[in-house]
This record gives sequence, structure tokens and C-alpha cells, in this order.
Amino acid sequence: MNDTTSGLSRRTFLTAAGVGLAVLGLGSTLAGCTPGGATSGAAGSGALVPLPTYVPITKGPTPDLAGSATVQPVYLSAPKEAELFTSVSGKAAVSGTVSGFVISYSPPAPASNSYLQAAEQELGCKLDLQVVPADSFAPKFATVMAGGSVPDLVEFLAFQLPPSYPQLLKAQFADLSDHLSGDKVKAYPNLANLPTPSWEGCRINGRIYGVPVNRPPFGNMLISRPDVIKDLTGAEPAPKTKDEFTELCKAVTDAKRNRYAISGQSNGDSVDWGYDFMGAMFGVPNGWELQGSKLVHKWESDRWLETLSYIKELKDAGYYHPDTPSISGSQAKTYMANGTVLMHQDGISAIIDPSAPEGVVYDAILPFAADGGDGIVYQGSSMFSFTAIKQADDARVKELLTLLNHLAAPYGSTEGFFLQYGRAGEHHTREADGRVVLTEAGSAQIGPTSLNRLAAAPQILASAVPMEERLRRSHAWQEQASPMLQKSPITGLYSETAGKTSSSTNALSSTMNEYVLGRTGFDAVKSGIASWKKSTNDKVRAEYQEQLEKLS
Amino acid sequence: MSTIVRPVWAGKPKPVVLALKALAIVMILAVILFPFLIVVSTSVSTAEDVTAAGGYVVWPKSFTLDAYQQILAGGVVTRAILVTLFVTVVGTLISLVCTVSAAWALSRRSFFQRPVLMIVLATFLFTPGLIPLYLMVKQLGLLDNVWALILPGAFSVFNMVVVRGFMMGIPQELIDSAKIDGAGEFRILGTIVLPLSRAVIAVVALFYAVGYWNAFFNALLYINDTSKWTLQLVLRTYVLQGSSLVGGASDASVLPPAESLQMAVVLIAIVPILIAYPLVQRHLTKGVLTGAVKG
Repeated sequence: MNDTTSGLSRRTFLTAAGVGLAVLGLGSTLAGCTPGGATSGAAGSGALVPLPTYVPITKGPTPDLAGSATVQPVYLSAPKEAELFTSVSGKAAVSGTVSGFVISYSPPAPASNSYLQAAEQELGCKLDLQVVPADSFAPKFATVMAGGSVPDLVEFLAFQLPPSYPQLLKAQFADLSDHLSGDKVKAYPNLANLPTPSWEGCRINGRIYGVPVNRPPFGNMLISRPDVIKDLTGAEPAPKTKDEFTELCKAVTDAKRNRYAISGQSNGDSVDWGYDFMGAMFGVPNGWELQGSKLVHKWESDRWLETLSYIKELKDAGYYHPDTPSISGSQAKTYMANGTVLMHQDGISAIIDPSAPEGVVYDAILPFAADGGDGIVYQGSSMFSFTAIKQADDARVKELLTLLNHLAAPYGSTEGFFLQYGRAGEHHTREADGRVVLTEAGSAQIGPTSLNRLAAAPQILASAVPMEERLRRSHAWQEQASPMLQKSPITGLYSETAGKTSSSTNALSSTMNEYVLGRTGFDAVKSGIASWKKSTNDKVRAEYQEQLEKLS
Repeated sequence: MSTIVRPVWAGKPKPVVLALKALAIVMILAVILFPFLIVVSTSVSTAEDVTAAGGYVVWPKSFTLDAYQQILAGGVVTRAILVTLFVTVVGTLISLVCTVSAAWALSRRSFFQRPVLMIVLATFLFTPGLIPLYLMVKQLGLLDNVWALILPGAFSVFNMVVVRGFMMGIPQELIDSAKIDGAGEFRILGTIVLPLSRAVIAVVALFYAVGYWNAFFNALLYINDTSKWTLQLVLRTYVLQGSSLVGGASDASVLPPAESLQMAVVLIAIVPILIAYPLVQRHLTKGVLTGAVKG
């Protein structure tokens, strides 16, 4: 009835083929995935080049609330036409087409993109941008780099730097130190307008390899609903000690009414219980600290163990939302918006979240020390990303720096206004009260074109959606928190081993999470830290120390 | 007079039993449909309803199509649908031609190169990895070309093995009698083999079609021009858009809530599959067992 195979049954063939090919397959190489050769990551000459001189631009509209190198200025209304000034002396006039590789959090722009065409006319060059969705940035980045098609301008994300990035930068991208270091940046006034903390992350092993996209220097903070808390307790939240904070949590939590003081959020394999805010309360350092000349990781200190114990105490008391181990960041934001949760750790932009319903007020809790002293705010990288320029001759690098200088046109400049709002009538309209509102075409084209990912002006506090109170609150918090900023001693340094420790780090994070959830004991945490230290952290420390010694 | 004893399952069920069975089915149906209800309800809910419900709405208090308008405005999604339709239809056709042809050839005992070809094709079961694939597509000049979404993955050895298994069950006598009547190989394939293989071809066609329809990672890697992105890749960006506010308040207009956008994306993405599936369902049950039982 059936014809038979020639002595080799289907099952036997597939089994044999699978085994044979598995053996062969193990020998196949992924040439593009070969890691870089350097073990310590030191790619520079060892000396620290001076960071670009900060020359703030003071022209243009006067902010309603003044800023500084660490505080964002507030503009409660869009600049009027008469207030706009010119920040560049002409078009960027780059020869040929400029290719770029940037991240996007937006849906793609329509095929007919009049904003891009207008921008190309303004800039004086053709642009060919690869716009990559955020969640797929890392694999696409790796593939494009390995495939050898390096675009002229490539965005390196500050929070997702690729493995062996110092070696990648040295091999494929231009060292910009001779163009931007010290007073040389004054040839590009808009780049000189970028605050100094933003440039620190662009100095990789002593040399400058990129132009930053500025963000405020503040790391995570505890965002709160002061309006709801005031209704419940009679005053806005301003705890000064750990005990006052615990009392606050107790006063606002009511599980029967489905209201909880705090929520953390799931981070994939682990849970963030608000570690940064809580750790800072107990004086846990920002990642690492120098004790004498020795680097010590935050998890190695007793203060970290105190932090974990305190978080467990709050969790056991029922002050954390019970869904904390599983909810996403956006779910936590929804809980904040509807008052289910009244405090949640997030970035500074959460205070001015435009999607918050009308009437909702956000603010941030000012950090404090557990025993009542001054608090700490971890200083982040002060940038969202930096843009590196592909290796090319000096003339080409200068052309591209001129282009980036144009894109970094400050708020209140004619160029900056165009980059943000496009053409009048087509991409934006001006309301009777002076507000500038994007049209449907503007909304669909400006953000998705992602020019602001290549370079942008220092981020200011402003909003197309009326939210004066929240803008003022954010500014006030930044002014009070600025003196509390604590920088990480390893900013700009790179450890090859640190990029390979995710499995042991995740295992330890998981143990700490299990302890907070009550599924394991304190001893498990201590022994987990001890073995993590021995297996990976000591080597990472050695690599950072070596670089610190070379650069000092 | 003797009493006929029927087995339990052949007897007329009592009304109580019927009622319990109906209740069980309704409850199972409710459990299956409830998440679907939440998807639809959330996708048409206002921001206030979504926020008040804590994220997911069971029954909307007010109705809005803002999420769908946001997704369908600008022609981006419409264009992506056209691209995906092209990739799915053309890709499925090409894949079926390759698969059926290879399966037929490899199912014949008379094809003496069969063992060698089977071993070569078996290597296709193992993916070489992301970067070698990218390099291959780049060297073929297919970067930024929609054919990069079709040609590299046009032939699935797994599907070929399934079809081959079925074709090996076609009686050789049928083929021999056709040959005696003067039919060539293509005539035999077209007039005898394909009509007999409708079920398995329908199943494999569905596998390919769903694979092409859902593919987004290849589009992400190989297509830089966003006007050539597939539907799943574009829809995914709407999901991301709702979950991050990196741009800050100085950006654009207020978006519909993230959950509404995500649920609207789910509906837009699955509706075509829901429409196509019943058309091949009657073949699917028969075809799924193809190749599982020999003889």
C-alpha cells in the first residue's frame, strides 16, 4: 500500500541528521558576534581630555523660572515669533546624503513626510535615517554594526550600551576630542550650550566619542500624588526621616478601599521595589563608591542590607500594592493616575506626564536620610543617548558636527522652533492664547522623524498641554534636589566583565526579591552576595580600578 | 416482551442532564470569550474609563474610537496592510510551489538523488544565526527590499516533510496507471497528486500564511524604509508608543491610553486570521493528522 523508503525510515533519518548536524553546527561561527579583544576596555591613551567648555546661550525668550546646569528652566508659554533669534549662521550644507541610525518610540511617519523634506531644506542636506523601534534597538544595532554598513551618525543609548562599546567606538567611530574638547567646542555654539554633566558619559576612557542628547541629571525618584495625600493626611508629603515615611505609608494605605502607599514594578526577571529611592535613604552609594582608593559596590555595604530589610518591613505591613511583582511600568502609572497607588519610583519626566487625566497632580518626594540628615539623589548619565560619527576625514567630521550643531539649536531659536514645531499652518497652528498646537500632520511626522535623537537642545520644562502647576513643582523639586546629586565614580569607565555578568546579577536580584516576598531568609541574601562578589564582582572591580588608576 | 438495554450514551438524556451540559458549555464559552470582551471594551474606552478601571475595562461607560483613529490615521497602517498582504499572498504561493515540488520529488522511490537531497535539506532545519542571515541577505542585494521577507524563508523543510509524508501514501499504482496513459510528471502532479493532497496543502498553506502574516523581526532587520514595514512591525510601535513617554510633555498631543492602543492593535492584527481560519478549518482537522499515521 505505501511505498517504503530505501531502507532509511523518516524517524531514523531525522534523528541521525539532527545529531550529525548538531555536531557540525557547534563548529559554525558567528563571525559578527566575536567579542572585542581588549579585556579591560581601556581604549584611550590614558589621559583625560578636558570636557567641552560650557557656554550657555542666554539669548531668546526669558524663562518664567530660570534654570542652571542641573535645573531645567520653565517656559509656561511657547516663544512668540518676535522673540525668536537665529542660532546658526546658515545651513549645515553637508555634502551628499547623511545616513543615521536612531531609536524611536513612535509609530513610523507616513511615506509622504513633508516635515522631513522641509528639514532637509533647512539643514541643506539629504537625510536617510534608519528609525528603529525601541524594543528591537539592541539586536538591530548589533546586526547593522556586524554587517559592516555603519551609518554616518549612530545613536548609542546611555541606558543600553552595547557590549564592548569602547572597542567598537575606537574601531569604527571618530575621536571627536580634537574638535570638541575644551574651548574647541566654541566653534559649535549650540553644542557648547549642552551642560557639562551630559558630556561626561561621552568621554569613553578619556576621549570624547559623541555628542550627547541632554536630559536632567537626576536618576530615579519617588513620584507622589500630593493632592490625594493631602486629602488623606491634611498635608502634602514631606517626610524627613525613615519613621516619618513609614507613618506616611501607614496613614494613606487602605487595602479595603484598594489604595496603597507605594508600588514597585516588574523588570522582567526581577522586581524593582523602589531600590534607588530606598537605598539612597540609607546612604547606599550610586552604584559604586570609593572608600579610600578602593571601589566598593553598593550591594557589598551593610547599608544595602538595611535597605532590603526596610523594604521587607513595608511590604509585610501591606503598604506595597500586592501586584508589585507582576505589574509593568505603564500599569503602575495607571494606578498612580487613578489613585490606587500614591507613590511610585520613576524618572523626572513622570511629574509632567501629558497623559495624566485633568486634575491629577504629580510631584516627587524630596530625598532624606533615614536618620534625618541630608538625602541623596543618584546622578544619572544626564543624557538619553550620544551620537557618534563614523570615521571619516576631518572635513566630513566637521560637516557632520555642523549638522549636529544645527539640530541642537536651543529653545527660542528660529531653528529650534522649526525643528520642534515644523512649518506654520502645515505642521502647527498658534492658538489665540499663544499656545502652539501640532496639527494632525505635525503629530504624525515630527516625532516619528526622530531628528531630535541625533542631537537636541538642552531639555527644558514646557508643555503643549496646560500643566503650569506640575511644571512649577518639577522645577522646585529640581532646585532643592540639585545639591543632593551624587555622581558615580565609574562614569565613563567600561568593564568587559560587567557586560557578561547578567546571569549572576539576575540570580542575586532574584534572591533579594525572594527575601522581600518572604520566600527566603536573610542568610540566603548574604551568602548570595558573597558568592556573587567572588564569582564576578571582584573581577569587575579590578577592571574599573585599573582604569581609574590609568586616568588619574 | 424483552426490554432493549441501550448503552448510556445512546439513551435520550434527561432534561436535567441536558441543562447541566448546556450550563457547562456556556460557562466554558464565557471563560473563553471574557478576555476577548475585555480586549474589545478596552479598545473603545475613554481615558477616564481606562484609568478608573485600573487599566482594563470590562464594559465601557462611554464609547470612543480614538485608539483606532490614532492607529489608522496618516495611512501608515493601511500601507502596512498592503505590504503584509503582498508578502503573505506571494510568499505563500512561492512557498507552496517550492514545498509541493520538493515533497513530490522526494516522495518518489525512483528519485535516486533523494538521500543526498534529504540530507542537504535537513541542514535547513538549523538556523545559522542572526548575523550570518543578515550578511547573506545583504550580499544578495535584498536589504530594504520586501523580497527579503519572502525569499530567505520561502522553503520550510518541516512543512516539506509533512507534505512528503502524505504524498508517500498515494498509491504507486495510481501513478503507474497515469504513466501508462501517457501522463508526464507535471501532468501527474497537477491532475492526480494535487487534488488528492488538498487537505495537507491547505494546512501547510495556513502555516505559511500565518507565518508570513505574523513576521515582524525580519522586517525590522532587513527593511529600513518604514513605508515598506509590515503590519505587525507597525502595530508593535503603537504598543511601544503607549508604554513610554520619553519625549516629555513638550511633545505633541495627548495620546489615547496605552491599554486602549494595545487592545486596538490586538484586534487589528488578529481579525484577518479570524476571517481566514474558518475557510480552511474543514481541511485543517484532516490535514493535521497527515503524516502522523502511516498506512
